[in-house]
Amino acid sequence: MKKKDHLTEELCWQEESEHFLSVKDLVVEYTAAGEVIHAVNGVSFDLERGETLGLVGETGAGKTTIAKSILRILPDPPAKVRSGEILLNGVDLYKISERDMRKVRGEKISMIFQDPMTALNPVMTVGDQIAEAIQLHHSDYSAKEVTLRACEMLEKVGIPASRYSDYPHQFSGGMKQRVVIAMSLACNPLLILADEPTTALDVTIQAQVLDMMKALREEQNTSMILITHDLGVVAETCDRVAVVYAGQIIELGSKEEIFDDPRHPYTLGLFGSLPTLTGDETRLHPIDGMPPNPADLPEGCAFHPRCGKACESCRMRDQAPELVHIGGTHYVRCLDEGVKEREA
Amino acid sequence: MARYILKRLLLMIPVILGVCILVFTIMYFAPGDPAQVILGGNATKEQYAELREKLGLNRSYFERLFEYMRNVFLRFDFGTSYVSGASVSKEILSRFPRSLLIAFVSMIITLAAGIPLGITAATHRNKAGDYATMLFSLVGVSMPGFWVGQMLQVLFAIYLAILPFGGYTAGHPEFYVLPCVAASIGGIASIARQTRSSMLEVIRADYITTARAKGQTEHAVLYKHALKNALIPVITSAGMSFGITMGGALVIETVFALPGLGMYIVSGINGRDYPVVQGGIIFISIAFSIVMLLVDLVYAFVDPRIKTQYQGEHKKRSKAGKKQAAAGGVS
Repeated sequence: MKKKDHLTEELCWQEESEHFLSVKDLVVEYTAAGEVIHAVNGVSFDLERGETLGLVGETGAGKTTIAKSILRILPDPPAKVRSGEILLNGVDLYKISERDMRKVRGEKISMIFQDPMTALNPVMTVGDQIAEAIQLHHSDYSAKEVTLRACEMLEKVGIPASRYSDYPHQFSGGMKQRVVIAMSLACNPLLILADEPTTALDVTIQAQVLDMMKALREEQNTSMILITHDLGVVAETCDRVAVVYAGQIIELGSKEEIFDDPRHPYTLGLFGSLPTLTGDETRLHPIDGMPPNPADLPEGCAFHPRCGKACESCRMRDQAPELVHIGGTHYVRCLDEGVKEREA
Repeated sequence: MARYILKRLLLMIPVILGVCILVFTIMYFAPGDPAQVILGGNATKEQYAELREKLGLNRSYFERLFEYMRNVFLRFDFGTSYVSGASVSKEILSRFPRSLLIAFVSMIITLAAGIPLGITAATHRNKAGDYATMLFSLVGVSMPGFWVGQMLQVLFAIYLAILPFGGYTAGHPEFYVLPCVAASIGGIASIARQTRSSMLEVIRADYITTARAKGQTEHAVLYKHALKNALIPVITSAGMSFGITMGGALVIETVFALPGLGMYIVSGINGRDYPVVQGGIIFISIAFSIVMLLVDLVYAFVDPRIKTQYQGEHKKRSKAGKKQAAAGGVS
């Protein structure tokens, strides 16, 4: 008990720590059939209280792995965090015990999963699943208080409390996702990891869910990492954006910096592949080529095989580009000087 | 739900009728003449004809079938044994509890041992615990129950002399120990395998990650979230293996000379004692139908999706019926 209090204090009151969350040089590998898959290759970023960071990138870029490694819920084996630090209020989450980590999960950091269809246990009522999260972190609550709080959470996400005893299969996809959200917000976490929370939903429900998440976030001053490949969602919800490619952040900046002044050829490609309402285009412009095989990443800059600007030095093993500060809060990982200096 | 149970109970009627006719027919065409078996080789032709007349063996197939069905379903009378002349229903009712006890106890042993073994194997996947469990279950599946029974007799009744070799005396539970263990070995092995594979599948599910992300302990993740889902397919195979255990109990009873229903039926088959065989098999088929119904109800209890399905079945059926009628009208 004492240990828990100590930890809670550390996580909440170390206001002097530099950042609320900082991920430093995270490297995650999967081992499958003797092959090593480089899912995350040195990701670093910081996040402040109340701030929302969007992680944008293609499927398989390593976004979900980043989120799961923050919560330490990667399946091991096959996944292995090779190196890196994840500091929450200055506490390295990889240096605390599994027991202390359980106190962090759900209470300090919670996660909204990608697929609401499979994220809920089919043989437990939705109310009980929300109540479980509450009860785990509020051992002082009576059974009645836990139920009341769970009902309150259901109402908050727009589901009548009378459906407490219904099972997940009796809900629609959008409602299930709202249950998942209610579950992850139940303990007022400091940080929410939202893994494509709207991908499985249709557009009208998407807007509803996003609005709801925004409102709840503002109410509780929660930080959020929003994983998505939908740039529209990013524009609507995020303060800062990190573009992820092949397990690396290749461009990082405020939403305005990324949207108004994208620098990296890949980011430009992402925006280029969006249809415009005003343009008179008949075809979309996808980025040529396929995302690289994470078991066999290209040498040098991972993007060079698909990059229109790639030159000889981009292909060299010892020339892998670093994330460079180019003004404001804007960082980019590219060797091309023009990319970095175009600002004028 | 009550509606569903009623429907299932009503559905048992044609099943039992079918079993009745089938068993009667098979026995009718089976070679061998009960009159000859009863009288032995030295009887005169007159004695022989007299007995055939008395047993009604010289009447036609349909006459005899009709007579038998009428007795069974209207008077609950399974006839009397050709050999002993005792009432079959009485004999069955006094023996059946013993067989049922063996089946139930070995079912409980099977589940109590098989499920934890399966969980151990799944949580220690590809480690020593997994290999040991799977080796045990491979050996267990490969050993026939009657052989295991005899080996148990050799070990516990002859070498260690701590349990009776066989037979039965009322009020002595130790006579059941070896038969129950022998009848459960095969079941333990198959339940362990089933639990392992279904656990491994469930452990990978997203909702298990959700439970971990809530901060739930690994123990609760396994037993509260994973197990209940993993047990759904295990229940089916447990229900099936209850039926197999009931059948296996017949052989096991013979090995241990335990006077249950199994021994009764086996002796009935050997003596061409038609009423005994027919009565015994019909009784077992009723018991089996009831067990399968219970399994389906347990299903509904464990899996809420199936419960909804049972409750919704009536509605769907009437809708589908209307659709079909409409389609028929068009064509």
